Amino acid sequence: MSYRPPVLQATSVPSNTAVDGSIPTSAATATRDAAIQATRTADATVDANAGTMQQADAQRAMPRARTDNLNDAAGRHLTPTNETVERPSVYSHRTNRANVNRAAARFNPAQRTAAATFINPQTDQQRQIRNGLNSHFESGGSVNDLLPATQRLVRRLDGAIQKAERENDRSHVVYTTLNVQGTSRDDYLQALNNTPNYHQNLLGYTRANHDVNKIAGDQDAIYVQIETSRGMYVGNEGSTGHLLPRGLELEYVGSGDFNVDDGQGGTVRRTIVQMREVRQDERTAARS
Amino acid sequence: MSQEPRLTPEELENLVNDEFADASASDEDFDFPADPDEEDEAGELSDEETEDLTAADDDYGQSVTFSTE
Repeated sequence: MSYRPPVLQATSVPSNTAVDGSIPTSAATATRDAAIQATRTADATVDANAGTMQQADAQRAMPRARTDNLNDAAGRHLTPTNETVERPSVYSHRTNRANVNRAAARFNPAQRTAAATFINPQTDQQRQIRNGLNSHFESGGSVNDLLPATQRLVRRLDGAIQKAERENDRSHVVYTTLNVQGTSRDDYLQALNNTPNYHQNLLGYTRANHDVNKIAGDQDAIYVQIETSRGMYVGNEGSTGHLLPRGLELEYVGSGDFNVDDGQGGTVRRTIVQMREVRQDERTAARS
Repeated sequence: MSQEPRLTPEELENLVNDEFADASASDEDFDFPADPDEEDEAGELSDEETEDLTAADDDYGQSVTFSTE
């Protein structure tokens, strides 16, 4: 992969002067990271041994990227420091919507049901399913731990997102929030800056938005800007939502205070952590 | 994103089965597409269905586990 975003200089948290060169993790975190790595390795083995992509996808623990048509030259990149975070353009909204509508027209009925249920749950039961699945994945559960009907639902949703990814012709810059469990917001930011190229795994489906103004996190939530080719645009009139797939691996790039277009002619100041997707080909290259 | 008590696989399965009870009879139609280029063509979505698929979602973000203890 040719594109590497610039490493940004943090302005709101201590600069990138590593104390010991690594993030201070607990035994539990190390165990979790090792389990995630083992899962990715197992998926690579499945890919190598399965006869077809379909057979592999039926066994994989995490969905593969299907951004086959990505044109890096048309991508969007993380916002450089000292620049204002812009709102998404009407052009990008129309392009993304046209792409996802092309994909949605090719969903089979089950994928359509799964996607609609997960993106826009209409009943308490559907919300319970969505939240229950995300809790399962975020706490380290595998799709293979689920019972058959639930596995089918998950793989249908994965398939719907993959179809949308195949229509992606560019990278996206999207925003979401992280609520960090087990430590304070400031300690997390400090640790990020002490650990160059720190990897953050998002194990559940993550709801994001192309417009940072649409993100409303808790008081302690960390705003994150993500450059990625993955996921499915779920915007409509007045919305620029984006659903990221489960099992997304991100690399920390930098953090800082940014001016954010407030949509009313002014700007607001926000601390934003910037991360970029770690792509499959990069993982493969790192292993070899 | 709010954290809810984790459901057991059995509880999740029951919810899914209840929610999709009507669809289970034709579940063979719901297999993962065998070949991306030979999958079922569902045809164009109606405006209403497209709206469902692209509806706004106000629940953003994800909780991540991180501990220095």
